[in-house]
Amino acid sequence: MKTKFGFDIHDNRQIDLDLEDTRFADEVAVVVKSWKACMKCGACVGTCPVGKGVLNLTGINYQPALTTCLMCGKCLLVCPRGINTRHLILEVMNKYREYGKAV
Amino acid sequence: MMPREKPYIKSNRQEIPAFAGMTSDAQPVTGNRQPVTVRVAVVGGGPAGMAAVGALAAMHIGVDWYEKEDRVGGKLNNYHQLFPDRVPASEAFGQLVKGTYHNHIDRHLGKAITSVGVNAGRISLNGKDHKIGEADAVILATGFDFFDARHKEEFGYGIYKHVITSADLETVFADGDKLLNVNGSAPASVAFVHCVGSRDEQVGVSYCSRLCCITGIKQAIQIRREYRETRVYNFYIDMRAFGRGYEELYREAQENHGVRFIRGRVSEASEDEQGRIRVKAEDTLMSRPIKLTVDWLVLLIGMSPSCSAVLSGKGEREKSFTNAENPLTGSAVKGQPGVFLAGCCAGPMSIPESVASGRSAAVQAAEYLNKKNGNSE
Repeated sequence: MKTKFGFDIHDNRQIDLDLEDTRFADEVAVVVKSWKACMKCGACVGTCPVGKGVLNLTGINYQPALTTCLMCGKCLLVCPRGINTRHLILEVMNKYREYGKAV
Repeated sequence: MMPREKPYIKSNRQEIPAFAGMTSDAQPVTGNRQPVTVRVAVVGGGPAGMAAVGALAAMHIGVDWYEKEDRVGGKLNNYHQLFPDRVPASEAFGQLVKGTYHNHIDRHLGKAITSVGVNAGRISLNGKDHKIGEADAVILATGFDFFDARHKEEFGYGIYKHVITSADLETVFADGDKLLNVNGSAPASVAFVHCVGSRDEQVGVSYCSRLCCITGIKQAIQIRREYRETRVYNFYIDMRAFGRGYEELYREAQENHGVRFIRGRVSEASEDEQGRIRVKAEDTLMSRPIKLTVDWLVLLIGMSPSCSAVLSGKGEREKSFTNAENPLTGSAVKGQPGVFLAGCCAGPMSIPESVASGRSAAVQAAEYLNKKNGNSE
């Protein structure tokens, strides 16, 4: 929020793991088990032609970064942990639809 | 600082039969007593010492085996299971100790060697104020000390009851004890802090202890196996799963056991009003600060040297891992002919590495003696 008196107020950026809700992640992991093996190396983000990458999905907030996904599958080719990212993206999209969130 | 009480450690420990026979008057059970002309002293009864002793006896070399405790096995006695395959520590102990029941081995338990002196081809082994023995060659297998986590005061070890070290946790597992929360039920969450006393200039430790990463992975899996509902977090700087099967175990921890790995060092821990531990850190991959409350905070402590006091007699303060003359090709100590290093006194090592190092030192000692005595057998 931009204020008139010299400083900005941001949202609290702290992650409170005590209040973390992992249901979404756990449900997706039931279908795509290898998702949990992500070690956040960033290869998928680096290779993504639209600059999104699957990495953003593994964090605490699931930013629907998938609206521009081309389904090109480059992330699938570079993942050192062999995560089936294409399957993962489709599953996340499905789950978002289930939860009534627009993707 | 007062010694901390450990209410979670009960004394229901069963004596393993193999240990029971290991007293100083135990009768050797294998090997023919052949006349042996040379004697090698092995200082230390841990895995490296046991391996060295067994190898020397198998080569028909007389061994004087010194151990400061009243039983052999070293820290292996307090371990539960060994990574990466979760083999019980008692099984590894049994395999190693088997080779040490031999006619050529004289055990000297409860004898602490504090320095060695090399004089005209003979080596004297000295205790605190008197000479304990003599030998033609010495293998130092004095191992390591656990890093004293109280030096990292911000983590609260020795201050908060629910902050423990990985060595404490291993004892809990080994004793079959429960890791319960303040209300006496299964813990809701447990966090591991990597690199406590490793790679930390604040406490004068520049090196990596290497094995804490895999210890954290193994113990995290163990907690998840015992308490299915417990959330387990590992706060790491780098994951260094270097050994065979270690990376696979890391992946298994994530994929099959749901252990969460967070890249970021815990900056401080404090106790809340219920006695739980509040942890502050940063998730450096998300670039966001983290707050977390856990029932137990486990500090993965590094390995500190304990050996150079033996060599130099300098005392507690000047400890460092001992350097071999040609560390790439052997473990002879420079300027101390006949003195060889085995195991963690030369640097952090896993148990298989310590065992290999102990056997290697035994061969090097035998080669040294053959050369010295002009034999070519």
